[in-house]
Amino acid sequence: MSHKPTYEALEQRVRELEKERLAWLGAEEAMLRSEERYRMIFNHSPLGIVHFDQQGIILDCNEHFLEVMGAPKDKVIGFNMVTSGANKEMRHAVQKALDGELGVYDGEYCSVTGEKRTQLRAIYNCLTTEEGKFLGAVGLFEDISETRRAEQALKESEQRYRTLVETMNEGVMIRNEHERITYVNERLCRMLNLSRNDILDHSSIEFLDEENQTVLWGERQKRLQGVHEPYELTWTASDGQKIITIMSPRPIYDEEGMFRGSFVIITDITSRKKAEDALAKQARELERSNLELEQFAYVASHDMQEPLRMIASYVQLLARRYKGKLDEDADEFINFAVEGSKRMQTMINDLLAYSRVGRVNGETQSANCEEIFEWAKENLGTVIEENQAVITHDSLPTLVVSASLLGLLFQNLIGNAIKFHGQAPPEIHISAALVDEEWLFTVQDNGVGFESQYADRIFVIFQRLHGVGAYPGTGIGLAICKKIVEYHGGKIWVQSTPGQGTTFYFTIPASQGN
Amino acid sequence: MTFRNQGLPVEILLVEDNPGDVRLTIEGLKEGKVRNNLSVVEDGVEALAFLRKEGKYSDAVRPDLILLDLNLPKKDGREVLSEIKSDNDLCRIPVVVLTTSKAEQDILKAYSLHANCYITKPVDLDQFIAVVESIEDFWFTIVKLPRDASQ
Repeated sequence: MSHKPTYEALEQRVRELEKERLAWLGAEEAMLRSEERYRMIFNHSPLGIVHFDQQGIILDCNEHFLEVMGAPKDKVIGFNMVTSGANKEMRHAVQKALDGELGVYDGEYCSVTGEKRTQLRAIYNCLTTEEGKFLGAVGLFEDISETRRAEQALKESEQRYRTLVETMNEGVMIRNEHERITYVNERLCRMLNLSRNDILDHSSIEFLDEENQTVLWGERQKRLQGVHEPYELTWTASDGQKIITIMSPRPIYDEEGMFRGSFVIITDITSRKKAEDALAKQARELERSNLELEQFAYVASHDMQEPLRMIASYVQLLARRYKGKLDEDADEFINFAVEGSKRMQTMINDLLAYSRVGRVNGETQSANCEEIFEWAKENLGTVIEENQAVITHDSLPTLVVSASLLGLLFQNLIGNAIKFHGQAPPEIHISAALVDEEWLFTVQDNGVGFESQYADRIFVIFQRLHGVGAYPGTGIGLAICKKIVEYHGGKIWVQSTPGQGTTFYFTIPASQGN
Repeated sequence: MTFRNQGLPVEILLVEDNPGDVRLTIEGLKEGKVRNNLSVVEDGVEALAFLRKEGKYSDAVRPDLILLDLNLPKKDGREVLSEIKSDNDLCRIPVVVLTTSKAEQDILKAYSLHANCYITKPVDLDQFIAVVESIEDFWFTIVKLPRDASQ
């Protein structure tokens, strides 16, 4: 049965409709606004977002997803991720999401659509109603290439340092503020002949003898005062071997500046130390034997003087009392005995003088070489005058030397130059120059000279280049010169040309003076 | 020094362990001008006993001059010199150190102990004899010694 509405009813209905329309318009506007908000999030998300259907076909995606895939939108939309994806694991992750679970992919991925290779982290999720009705699926993509690169670089760097620390020839140890060892490298384990576990979490004290525990204790006190200097420490290896090391500690502080332990580089100097000790022992031995030799030369020559003086005196007494009273042969024999004993006396005196170099008058002090030179010249006064020798010199330095020994050196060299003069009166020139760290002295003459092959021989004790008759002397002078120069830490050598003259060179370290 | 005017020989004590040197000194003195009596002892202990007229030396004559070697057995010359010079009675007797040593420290030490002179025995015989003669000459004809030194 029909029912005819009244005007009021219609009017009421219009008002209701109008109200509904307004409500609907409001809802539509709210929805539009909400849609807009989500669209904005979707478009500007720092993650790539993809929306796909129940088959895995991409329905929509944002700009960032296109960037990650390196593909244009038209290629991406409609792509079936389950059937066309190149990566099996990625396909599985998508399928897993479609099956209602969370699908995750983490790793390298090469996009089919854009052939772009990236490090990706993708999370797929499926949206369903409470009843399990499929509503849609989304995937979130994060390009983690940069993170991966940084991680890789860190890993490589860590590996590099680890290799360096593990293979270096120095032991490395890290200990915490409680003196517990928290890290050791392979080298230190080998040094101590222990495994890493034997050392880690222990204290250094456990691998030291009492004496070195004291050393470490002292260093610890210094460390607390902020001193971190290298020091020597001897470890006791598990087999009892003593390992001498140089410890170079560096403090470790935390962000608040609190002391958190130290990092120590440990250098094994056992073999170096042994070599040094052996060398020092050798040097001591050499010094001792040299001293003994000098003592021997001194004692021998000193004590031999007495009986020789007797021989010489009594053959001379024989000559004095009985010359011409026996036969001619007797006179000749006595004469040889007298000459021989006199020569022997001279040699013994010379030997004694040689052995005294450095043993007597060896004290060094700052002395002016010009004054020493003048002193030597005065001593040679008669000889210089007799031979009309002209002796000149350049400016000479002030050095820390034994003045009496250096004087003897000058005297011997100048005397030598005068003795071996040529036809012309002797001309001798002395000069000195600073060469590197040494003063180089030259004593140049215009004498007879000699062949250069004898240049080394003339410095040997009692070595002579001429017969006894030609020039007096035993051959001690230059040997003494050599000993004096070497006593001062220098060297002596000679250059000579027969008939042209001779130049003696000697050095005195400048560190000996100023 | 009245004794020489009276023609008495001078008394010399030689402290020397080497018979060769003793003989050479005798030879040297023999060639000298001054008449002398030479007494010889061989070590430092004997020398001091002689000077102090101890034991077998109770009849020893006080010497006018002592010729002293430095290197002696038992008690060496330095000790003898030191004892003589610190002895109120003996200290005025001139002591001539006659030794082979040329060492600076020996010379210095001898004079520090108040040796009257230090002579190194010349290695040459002629020089040795000359030195012995000069010792004699110097100490007995040139030097003026205190009277009590000869008493």
